[in-house]
Amino acid sequence: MSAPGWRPRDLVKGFRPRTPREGADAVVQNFVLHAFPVRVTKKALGWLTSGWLGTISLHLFLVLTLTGAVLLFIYVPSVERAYASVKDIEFVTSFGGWLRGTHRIAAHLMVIVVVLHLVRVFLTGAYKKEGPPGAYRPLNWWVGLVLLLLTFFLSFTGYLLPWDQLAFWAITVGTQIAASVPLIGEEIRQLLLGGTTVGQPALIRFYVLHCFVLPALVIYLVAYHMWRIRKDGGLAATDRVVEDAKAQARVVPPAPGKTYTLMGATEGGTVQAHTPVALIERESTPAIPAIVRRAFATFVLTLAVCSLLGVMLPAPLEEPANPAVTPNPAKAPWYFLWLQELVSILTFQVGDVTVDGAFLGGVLLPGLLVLLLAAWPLLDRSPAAAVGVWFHSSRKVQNRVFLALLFATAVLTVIGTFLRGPYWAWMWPWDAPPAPPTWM
Amino acid sequence: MSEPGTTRRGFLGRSATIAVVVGLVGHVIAWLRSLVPNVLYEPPMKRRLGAPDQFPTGRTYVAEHNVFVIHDTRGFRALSAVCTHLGCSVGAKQEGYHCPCHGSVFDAEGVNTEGPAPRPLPWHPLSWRGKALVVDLGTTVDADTVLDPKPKGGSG
Ligand code: HEM
Ligand code: FES
Repeated sequence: MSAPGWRPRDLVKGFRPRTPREGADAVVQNFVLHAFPVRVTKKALGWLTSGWLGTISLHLFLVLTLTGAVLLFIYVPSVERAYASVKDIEFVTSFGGWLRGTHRIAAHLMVIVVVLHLVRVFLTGAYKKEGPPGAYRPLNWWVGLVLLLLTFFLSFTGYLLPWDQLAFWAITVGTQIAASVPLIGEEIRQLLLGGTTVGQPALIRFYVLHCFVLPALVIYLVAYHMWRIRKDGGLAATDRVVEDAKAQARVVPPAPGKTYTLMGATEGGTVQAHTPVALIERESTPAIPAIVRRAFATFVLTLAVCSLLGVMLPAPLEEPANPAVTPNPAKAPWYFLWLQELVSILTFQVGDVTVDGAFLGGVLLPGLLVLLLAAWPLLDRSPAAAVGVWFHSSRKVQNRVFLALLFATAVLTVIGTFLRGPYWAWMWPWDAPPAPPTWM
Repeated sequence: MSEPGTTRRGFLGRSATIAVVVGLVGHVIAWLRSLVPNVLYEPPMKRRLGAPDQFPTGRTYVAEHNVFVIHDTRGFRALSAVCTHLGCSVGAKQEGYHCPCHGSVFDAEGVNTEGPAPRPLPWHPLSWRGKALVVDLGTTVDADTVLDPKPKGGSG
């Protein structure tokens, strides 16, 4: 082997290894593949173990970044021109409507898939503190929670950019909810808006958050999320495979010459040489190309679904923002309607004191919900045997509580989406929409 | 005397660490402070509404400034159209007002009667500037503050 230095074909080296050894080498030879372990358990690769929902979230984020980068070249973040530039994208730019539709549908799907990913992590007990030495999966649960909030905030900020009626009133209501925080509420609102009214400073703030700050945070945190999975000894389901193998005394100590210890040959070893996965031959398989293939397949599928839905469900554009006239009903995007329902029904009177629904439903309850989710791994008392197992019997009660919370949110969302008409009044979907409201 | 904390090297090291931390914290403070505007290029809170004959007896919605001007036998009053719940613009109904966002209802005097709005709609003071009505959206007055229907003339 002469040492030719670097060759262009090294860029794709290892993507399609001819031997397991080549696959193992790829982990240290290819920048893209260095994120992967040398071996993974077959269990962790299974479609039913994780649904690959985290991976699909990442693919959706990728689709959003790519389509978003193109839209950035055409969109103008000014209150005078934002609406016209979005209209241009929709009706004048070649493929503009499709790009915008794809971007929007990927954003909606990302909210759904990230939530489903959280649900799967919860129901498989994959966030639990119990794990192999060095593992601490609650950390990834917390990083995940921040990613969930970032996903919501990305959607919210993106929603505002067209500067149409929907945008204007969403920002009005959303920032007013922030203002309901006691003592510092008004300061928070003005920091978000860059002023006291919804205008140009607000648009540019949301634009920069949407296009730079929040995606940058997501990229950083996702990288950390992935690295933590390696530190945690692989997906939670791996723990069970390793424990079973140990119980049956099938663990093979790493012997020199085995493909997966190749990287470990250097003094001190590397992570992959000594993870439990490397010790069980029969239940594991070379990660490359197994993960690469599945990641590629899910990406192509994600892109295809977004592209198709992007054509079938074009993104709506309402009338230009009009501070004088609130649309009736003025609805937030569907994933915020449970909050809109809460802020609408939670104002009540106790004697002479009015409890403000905006604070209760818009700040306190969602805040407590996030805190509860964050504290959950510390409160969870189920045994190590429940890590990485769907619906483990020891988790029956907490699974029910969790699903009840999820169900309540879903019910509120359905009410907000389908059962609320003008003036937020109850309306059955089959009722004729009332006559358009008259504004004097 | 070479306790770890007392050597020259240790002293320099600690000083450097403190300097770097102070520098970084200073940057972060500057970033955050720069986001709090010192000047707001927003329209002034005092808005000229126009001549009184634009406001016949009854109520008139001035969409541009989000207020209702109420003209009765006592004179003029200005009621905010900004819902006290989350800031949507309320619409007029037969008697009183209705918010499209979460359905708050206010009576003819702007008092919240139904829905999530926690407070009555505020009243803003009106004044004359020459022969034109001017509303000050930056301050509130109680519901009984009425502007005499005749312009006094003079400055405003
Ligand atoms: C932008 C959003 C997110 C992305 C891109 C993402 C990505 C991923 C990926 C690719 C995995 C590998 C397993 C899989 O594909 O399912 C994973 C695992 C994991 N995620 Fe996320 N995730 C996100 C949000 C979340 C959220 C909201 C939570 C929960 C609060 C979470 C908690 C976890 C945990 C604990 C694991 C380890 C699961 C295990 O060991 O089985 N993540 N994530
Ligand atoms: S903003 Fe008027 S009821 Fe919510």
